[in-house]
Amino acid sequence: MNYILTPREKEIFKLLINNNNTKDIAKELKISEKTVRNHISNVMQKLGTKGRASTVIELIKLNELSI
Amino acid sequence: MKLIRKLFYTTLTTFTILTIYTISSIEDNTLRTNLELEDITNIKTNTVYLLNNNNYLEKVDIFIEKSDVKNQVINIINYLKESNNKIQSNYNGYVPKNTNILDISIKNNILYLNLSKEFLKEDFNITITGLIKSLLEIKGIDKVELKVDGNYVEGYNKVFDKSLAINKKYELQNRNNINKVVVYYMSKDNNYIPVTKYVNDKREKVEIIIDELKNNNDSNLISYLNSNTKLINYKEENNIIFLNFNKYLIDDINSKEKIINQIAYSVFDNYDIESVIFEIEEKNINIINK
Repeated sequence: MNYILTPREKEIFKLLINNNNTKDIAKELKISEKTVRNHISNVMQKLGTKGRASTVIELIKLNELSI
Repeated sequence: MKLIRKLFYTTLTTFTILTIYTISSIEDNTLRTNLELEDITNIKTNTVYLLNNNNYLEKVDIFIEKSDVKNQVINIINYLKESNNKIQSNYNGYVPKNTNILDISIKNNILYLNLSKEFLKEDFNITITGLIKSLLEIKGIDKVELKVDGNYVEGYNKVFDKSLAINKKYELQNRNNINKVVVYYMSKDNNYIPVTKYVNDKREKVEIIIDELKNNNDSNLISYLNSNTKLINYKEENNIIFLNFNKYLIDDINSKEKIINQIAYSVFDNYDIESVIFEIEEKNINIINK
């Protein structure tokens, strides 16, 4: 079964929709802020979206993120 | 002349009494018929979701043959087929007509269903949502595991329960404070249409529900809640939610039941509670149990 998000990407976006910023996410997952930004960019590229808000909305519509 | 007048009034009185008796008998008989129908016949009421002409999945009560849970599942799948001409004209079925049931079993209130590949047509979101929601209305089914041709459907849960979103509406402007709320509207046929709304609003869901019902502007979704209604306060304790409103909650007595039900059903879908108690200025006016 193919999912859009990798497990790490899912972790990041779950934190993102809970009002965390890049710094918060990096601290929580013990990774660098650059790594967080790279993961988010990868997902935007996969979806063809621009901006974190539209990416989050698209992921919710695709059932990749649940509220 | 006096005799004729007497005869006239006697006849008129008798006719009036007979008319009143007949009407109340018909109403009584109708009520008795509805209540006893399931006892005296081989049919029962089931709630299914049918697609209305505005593309909303609407909760509709239908009569199907009484049977065990497994056969109810089979009957409902067949009922929801596009080819079913027993569906009322203002609704549509959506399960592709060539869909076959490859495997079906029920264990611990979980329905395990494997359908043939014909089930998945282009844009099958409505098909899956409507079918799953309809099957979850069957007493004895709490969850549904769905496979198609032996495989889980990509992009969907493996197992569904009543939290499955329906008639989804996205009213999101940004990624912050995203909330998911189910709101019950009504259709022109007086059926309920649950809508899952995604909004940027971190308030309590019950506050969002009341605001959404007050401020509805979709003509295909009806809300009877007066826009001057105010939820003064609320509390949740012991599986009961108490909602205290101002006097505008019930400004039209003819719509009272619809208003109360719209709010109660919305609340039941968003909270794990057993009862909703309605108050107007702290005076109890109604209790709705799940």
